[in-house]
Amino acid sequence: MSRRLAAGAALAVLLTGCTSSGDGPQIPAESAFLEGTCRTAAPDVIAIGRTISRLGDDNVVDQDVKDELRIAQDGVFELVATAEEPFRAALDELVVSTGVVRIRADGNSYEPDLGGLLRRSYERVLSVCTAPK
Amino acid sequence: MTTSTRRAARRRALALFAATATAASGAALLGPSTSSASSHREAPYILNDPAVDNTDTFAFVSPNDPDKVSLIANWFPFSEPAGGPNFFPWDTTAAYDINIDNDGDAIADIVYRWTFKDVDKRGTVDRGVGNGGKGTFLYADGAVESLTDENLLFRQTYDLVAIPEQGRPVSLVKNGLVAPSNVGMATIPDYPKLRQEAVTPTSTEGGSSYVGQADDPFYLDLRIFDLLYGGDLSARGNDTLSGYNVNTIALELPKEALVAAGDAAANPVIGVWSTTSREKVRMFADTNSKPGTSPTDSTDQTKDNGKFVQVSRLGNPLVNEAVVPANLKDFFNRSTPDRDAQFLGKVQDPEVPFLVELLYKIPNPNKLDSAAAKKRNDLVATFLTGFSEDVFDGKTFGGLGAGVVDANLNSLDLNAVSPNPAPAEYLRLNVNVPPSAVENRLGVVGGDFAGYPNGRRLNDDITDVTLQVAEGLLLGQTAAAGLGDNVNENDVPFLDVFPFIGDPHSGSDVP
Repeated sequence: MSRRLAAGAALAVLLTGCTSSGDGPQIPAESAFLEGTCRTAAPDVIAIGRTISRLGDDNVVDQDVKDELRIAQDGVFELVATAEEPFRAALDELVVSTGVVRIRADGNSYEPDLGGLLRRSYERVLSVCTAPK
Repeated sequence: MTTSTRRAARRRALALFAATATAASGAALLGPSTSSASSHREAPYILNDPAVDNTDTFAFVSPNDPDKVSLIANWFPFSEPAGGPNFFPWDTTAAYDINIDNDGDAIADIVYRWTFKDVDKRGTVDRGVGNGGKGTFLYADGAVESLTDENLLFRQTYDLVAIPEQGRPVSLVKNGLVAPSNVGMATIPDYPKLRQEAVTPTSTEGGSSYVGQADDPFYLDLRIFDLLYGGDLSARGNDTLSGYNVNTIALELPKEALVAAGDAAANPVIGVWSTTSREKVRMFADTNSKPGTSPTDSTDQTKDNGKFVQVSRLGNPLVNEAVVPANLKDFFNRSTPDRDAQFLGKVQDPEVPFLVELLYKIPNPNKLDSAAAKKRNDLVATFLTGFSEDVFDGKTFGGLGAGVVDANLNSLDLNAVSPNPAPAEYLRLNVNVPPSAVENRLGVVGGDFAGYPNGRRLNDDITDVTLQVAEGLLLGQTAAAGLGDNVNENDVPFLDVFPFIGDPHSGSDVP
């Protein structure tokens, strides 16, 4: 884990309003996101974060989870082109990871390792988007 | 990065892909149930001419005899087993070919050609009905116990010749017996018996030929054509070809008969593709005044004349189905491998990755930051050059295919006779790679170098391999591992002995 990612993860835990469900990732409040692109992306980023713990361990993923991933991915994707670095790279990675999960989930061939991939991308976004100004 | 470190890195990467793909395929088997089922009706002209429509071509080292190579080609897609009264005869006016290039010029050095004759007694049967006329609508007059059974009213024979690029044609089989369509249990109670009877030795010592019906061995979900599996890849897992038959030609020969100079050690790689040709002119008789003059004639037959022209072509599966766009598909069917450079652009920038990016926002691999990715050298090597160390280093094929797989596998530049071969779209088989004791359906990307794209075996899961490679597996896009259509095996088992392809469904089988 990179120092930046480790710092981001640690910071996320300390942020006011963070929640998590079991072993799921931290879910910060929208207000914890930096103003600008990150704050705009926050609802969709959070939505993706909430789906991670609902992906399960089976090849088959619930349809509502798949729908939420698709909608949230669309939202983040629209922001990538105009985002500045380092937000752009992190958001782009999240879009691609979400796509990889979706393509396998839609074909009922999802594997839990892909959830780990998505979680790492999600946590990278948190590390850059919820850092203090 | 030096060449050696690059090679080492690529070898590690390939091993990783193989491990990932193997794990993914294993996981897929634990997933949802799959149905127990390349180039079917792929082009606007050929879909109306099914008897000469190539569906698949296979080339592999015979699993029960590594000194021999088996070549299989299929025609007549979606043959419904009960599709009487005429069922699925071979076209007596066409030439059915399996072509071999062993010197790398992308021109056939040997053409194996099958032509057919009808023996049709249906017009001679006297039922005492029809006010004195003769004839029956039935395929047989009772149970058919052998290929020469008098009950079989419609049968076909074939001639097989080997036509060398230089020299005179050589007859391999004269008046061989075709195994008939598997009409149903009342007519054909024991098809496997007829089938083994139809296995005929060739004049080439050690060779065997089989011509007849078979289960369609290709297994895939054709809903890929419904806006890419239902618009979101959700419509997968159904073997669309399950339950259908094809007409098949199988030829097993000693590998020395196929390789250049008969020397498999010096020239181990062959290029293989199948074609069908028709005579150039067809005339429809317009006299419907009286029945045919012979009991074996039909009335108002067509008459074909002129030199043969190629109307169907098939080497690598799915190329003309899913790589070549609809407006060029018949053009591709009429084309020859020596001119395949004209299709380079289509191979380098296929449509499926574009559609996947559109649907899932997974970047098209040609946007990856490497020269090999931008030129899709992975696809070029898979379809047009094959793999070798010289291909990897960019020393042959003008650099096409460089930097992808560092292994002396199946490029014709491995042949002593062809150090600088031409790029061409056909199957490439290294006849010296022994058959695998346990086959991996993903072939080379699954770590099994005896499988596709080193030739093509019946078990190879072409759709999954093609999807994964199209999405950049050979370029390091490990996320592509595991992609597929969720159809992982054929609906009918393959045989352990020649002709290997599965028995055809019977007309008695109903869903």
